[in-house]
Amino acid sequence: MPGAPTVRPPVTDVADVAAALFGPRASPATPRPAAALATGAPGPSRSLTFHGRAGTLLGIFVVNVCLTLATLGLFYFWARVRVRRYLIGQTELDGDRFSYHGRGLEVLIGFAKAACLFGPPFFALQWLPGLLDLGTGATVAVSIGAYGVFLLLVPVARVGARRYRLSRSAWRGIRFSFQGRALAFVRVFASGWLLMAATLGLAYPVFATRNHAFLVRHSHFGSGRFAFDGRGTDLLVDYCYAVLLTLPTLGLAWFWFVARQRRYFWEHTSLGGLRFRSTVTGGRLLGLKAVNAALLVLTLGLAWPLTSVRNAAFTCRHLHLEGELDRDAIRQTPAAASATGEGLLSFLESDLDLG
Amino acid sequence: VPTSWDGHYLDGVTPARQAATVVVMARGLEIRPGSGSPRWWPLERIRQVQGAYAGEPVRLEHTGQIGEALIVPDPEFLRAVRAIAPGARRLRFHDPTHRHARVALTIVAALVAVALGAGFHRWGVPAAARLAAGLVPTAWEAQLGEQVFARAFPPHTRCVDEARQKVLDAILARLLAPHPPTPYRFRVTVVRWAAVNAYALPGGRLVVLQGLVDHADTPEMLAGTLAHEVAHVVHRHTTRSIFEAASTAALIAAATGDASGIALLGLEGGAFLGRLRYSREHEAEADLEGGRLLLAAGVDPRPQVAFFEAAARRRGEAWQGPWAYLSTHPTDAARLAAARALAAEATAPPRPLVSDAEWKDLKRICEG
Repeated sequence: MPGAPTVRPPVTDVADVAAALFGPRASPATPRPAAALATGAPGPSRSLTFHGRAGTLLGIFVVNVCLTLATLGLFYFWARVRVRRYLIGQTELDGDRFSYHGRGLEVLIGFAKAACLFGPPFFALQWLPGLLDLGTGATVAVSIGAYGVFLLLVPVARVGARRYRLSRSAWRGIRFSFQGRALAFVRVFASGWLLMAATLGLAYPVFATRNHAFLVRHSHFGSGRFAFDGRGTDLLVDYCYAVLLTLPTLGLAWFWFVARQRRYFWEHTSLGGLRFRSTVTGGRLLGLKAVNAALLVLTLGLAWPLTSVRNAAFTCRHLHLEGELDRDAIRQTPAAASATGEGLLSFLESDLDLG
Repeated sequence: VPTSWDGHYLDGVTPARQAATVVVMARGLEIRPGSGSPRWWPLERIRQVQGAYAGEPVRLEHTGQIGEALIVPDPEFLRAVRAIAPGARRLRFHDPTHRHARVALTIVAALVAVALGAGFHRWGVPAAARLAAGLVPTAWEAQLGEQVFARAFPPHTRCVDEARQKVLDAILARLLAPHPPTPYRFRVTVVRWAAVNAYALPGGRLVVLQGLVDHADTPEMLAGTLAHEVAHVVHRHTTRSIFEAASTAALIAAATGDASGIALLGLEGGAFLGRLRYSREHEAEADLEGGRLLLAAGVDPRPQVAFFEAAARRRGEAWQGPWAYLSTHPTDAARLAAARALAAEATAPPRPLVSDAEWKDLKRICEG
């Protein structure tokens, strides 16, 4: 997901959707009249506005919890959709809000498909060695197999989830879409992973940037395609600093790396005449996350609606758009997407955004 | 009621928006964009996408064309549609007049959610865990127990002394004799650890730490501990706690939706507190069933009472009160009361477990 190395799904959605809009590789030499963006009369640079309120989200959250418990968990999928619809619907750009069109049933079916396809092999590989009392060699082989399956599923899940979420998100009535092939992403992901393993992790920025580039370049806003021209080697120095400073700063140096990576990713993203810019800094990110962590731990997780709203508002506040979208060049392109990858993400229950 | 409203129109083809006037009619809406011909939307083809929350503009979409939408900033527009077009009442349009009831409904939902959550926690999860544990083959439990035993208590930590082990085995056999047959093979091992504790591994492995043997004044005290651990095995507490932890996690996941990352830290705290309750329930059950086992075997229960009295005196009141919720075991006072109640049930006079000489010798099981 663009510029969000650790995934919190709702925020990622906003970022995804926002990403779809923020990509114009504007040529500064040929400025277009602001009227191209219709009534918003946008200035040269503007940011997203997030209107969401923690109180409203808390209400949604409470009703979701009640219905999820009453249905023995079945409502979970509808609950996710309601939260996502709220967070995306509260995000505004140039006077128009984004809209989310996902449906609980689609997400439920996606989850069921993912569970049937990938559940048995994964759990068999993970649990059978212990239960059948295989020898050490066989156990190790099976564990490596399980890890391999997992590595394969991560890219498939990311592509699937992105495909579904983008296809259900729209701005000004134009749907976003993701048109990359899962297998192609598996290749990118696996080769990057091997490169990282071979360099003992040093190539992480290359790995992350290649993944990100694939995900952005196959994302569309209607008929307009996002572009990304970043190279992972540009982040190498920052990455080395972060690694070296991990111990002296007790890991806090990573906030600065993550912020730097986020800015870099956005700055190299464009959509037609639009380009993006992020003003996230390590200090601001640290402030946001530290307060959120304190809120969540102190309330045993109940402050979740508040932290979600804070995250979304932070993302919007620090994301800026420059240049204009070419109104005449962009057309609606209806595309279907299934929710399988979406289900897989929730099924594996881990922070899958390794990039 | 005004019939004409200002908004803007999206044609679903291009990302341009046009200012538009909407006229509400009995069978639908007529949209008159600033340029181009008017659009007629029959009511049954309209879906409301946004506008249910305060501050949100009303967004209606035409179901025939992806993205064709009408946005009216004023929520009063919805009221006008309902007033003028009677058919709109059947559609799932939001009714702003009911917004004030939301706070009350949300509070009701919160109360119901708390009641449901508490009910699941109190009864649902333990019942489900008991049911699920019953389906696990005992051979799997034994397998797990053996693996843990081999890893946690490697051979060099075990006290091996054939003659003294026989006395220990005799105490265990005496306890098990009156018990109906179980699918488990019970074995007891003393381990060279100074702590005063004992463990029951699933499948029938009992582990007594040397510290406990040292601290036990009488064979009856040791037998009380063994009976407690036997009850853990027979009632499959380890297997049940695995299922209880999993169902607690599922319960929390169901209740929190999209939580991830750091939120899980806070939730983990909640789950931990929840699991402690199940632990205390298991301990209370093991106390009760273990005590019954003692009585059935004709073992004197009074040393057990003395043990809890000593524990209660030693720890005093500090560990009662709110701290009790952070404990894996019931309070000393509760355990003492339960032990006294059981001791009062004893009918037949107790028979000694082993001779004094045998007991003194057994206490040196780790001296090799």
